[in-house]
Amino acid sequence: MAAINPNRQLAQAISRLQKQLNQVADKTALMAVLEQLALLPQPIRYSFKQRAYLCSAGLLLSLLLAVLTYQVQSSVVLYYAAAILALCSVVPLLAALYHLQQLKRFTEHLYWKNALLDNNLSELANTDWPNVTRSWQQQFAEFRRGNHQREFRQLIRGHFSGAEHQFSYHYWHFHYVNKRTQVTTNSKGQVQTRTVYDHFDRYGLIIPFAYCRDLFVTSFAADGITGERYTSDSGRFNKIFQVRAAEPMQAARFLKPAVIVALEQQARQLKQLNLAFSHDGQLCISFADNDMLQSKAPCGLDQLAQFRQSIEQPTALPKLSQLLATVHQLLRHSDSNF
Amino acid sequence: MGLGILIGIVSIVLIMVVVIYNGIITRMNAVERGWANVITQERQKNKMIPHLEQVTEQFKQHEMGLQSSIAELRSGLARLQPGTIDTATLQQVEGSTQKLLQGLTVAVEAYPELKASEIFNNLMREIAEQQENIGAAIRIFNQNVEDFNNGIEVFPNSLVNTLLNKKTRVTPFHDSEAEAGFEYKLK
Repeated sequence: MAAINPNRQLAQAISRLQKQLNQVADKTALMAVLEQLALLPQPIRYSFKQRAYLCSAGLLLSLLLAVLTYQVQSSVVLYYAAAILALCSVVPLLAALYHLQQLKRFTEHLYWKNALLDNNLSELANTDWPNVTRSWQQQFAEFRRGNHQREFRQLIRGHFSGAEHQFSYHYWHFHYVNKRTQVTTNSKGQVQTRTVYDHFDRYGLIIPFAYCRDLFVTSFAADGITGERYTSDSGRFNKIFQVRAAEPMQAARFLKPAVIVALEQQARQLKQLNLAFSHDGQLCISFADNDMLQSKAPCGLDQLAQFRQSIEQPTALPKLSQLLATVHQLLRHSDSNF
Repeated sequence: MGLGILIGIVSIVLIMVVVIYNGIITRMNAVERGWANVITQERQKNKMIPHLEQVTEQFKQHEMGLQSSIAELRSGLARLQPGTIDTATLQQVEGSTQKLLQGLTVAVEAYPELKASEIFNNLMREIAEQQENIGAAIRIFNQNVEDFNNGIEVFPNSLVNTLLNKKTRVTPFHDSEAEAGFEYKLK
């Protein structure tokens, strides 16, 4: 029986385990994926050294052939031969790069899945998205951004347990596109128009918040936010945020000094931070940072023992934890203790 | 041409002076508003005092000490005025509050059944939140003071202030008790 090429064996295992990883719902299932990785020949890495030498030699040869053809005998057939040789040398290199990228993506996905599980987060299936997002689009101006295209790209469900309050929440990634016409005049004075599509991404959380309604605290307001303007006691807060409320008394009750300071601090961590309290008692926190759920693995799968150790340890998502702590603080200061 | 440039320069200078003058007034108003907010938050303690008196009646051994701390806090709160920025009185009130909270903690140790009491726990939670709000209000006041002081001391604002606004530096709130714990001190 012919021995299986180790690179091919690894590629097959990675695509099989990738499918398994997509179905992982708890830490035990995640550890099972690691167990299977441990059965593969160690260290887990592709070896493309031989292929790299052969391809480099092929590229050099094709270059030499092209130069000689140019200097000695200008023949179209030889030029074609050089081009085909170069192509044959590049394709295996591109395939190698694809496999290396696939392994990197798999490692990142594995570690990300682990971070989600450690932080009580679970991805929502695409089929469930319309049921969840329909009411959000009606309640929040945030999801009415973009005049050409709007779509949710990620929905994750989570749960937070604090000392005084616990709540379920959704993390979302929203993508929108603005379409505009750009008019330019060239050096000859000719006017040209072209359509430009600007792509934007917003991220955030949706949390039930019964203590405050119809209030908007925005540093990057979307169109369609209404209400009376309110200014707080803090000059710095007023520089960062604009506050609008159906009734200014609502804003005055909510924006206690501790809440103002907490939001000032949060605005230092997150770009373009907005808070919108809907009429239905939901809080939509939105921002432009895309690294809220990012967690980088300390090493690759080639150091499997160390990688496994890092999976066994609880993985922190500091930006998410801080934001949830701020939400907890807002809840604490908005509820009644008696 | 030359006259036009001169008029242009004078107009720009005048606009700058008006902007700086108004900026100083706005920042001073923010300081006063910040101070009024500190007083408002401090006076929220008045709402807690009857509940505290009710609870302290149960601490027979400690009642006298706690009652005198409450009286001290009450008189301090009465001395705080929204119109006058008086950080020394504020410091005394904060000192009285700390003394009272320490007294309550000691008293609770002697009456463990109170630790389980819902009313007492709610009261302590409310006091903790109030203290958090007072701390934040003081921080906002100090930020506004810093912005105001910068606004009258940097050039060319200092020139406009000396000639027109004539405002003086406002002293931010310092917690001398907390500062005592540090070796490094601001002169």
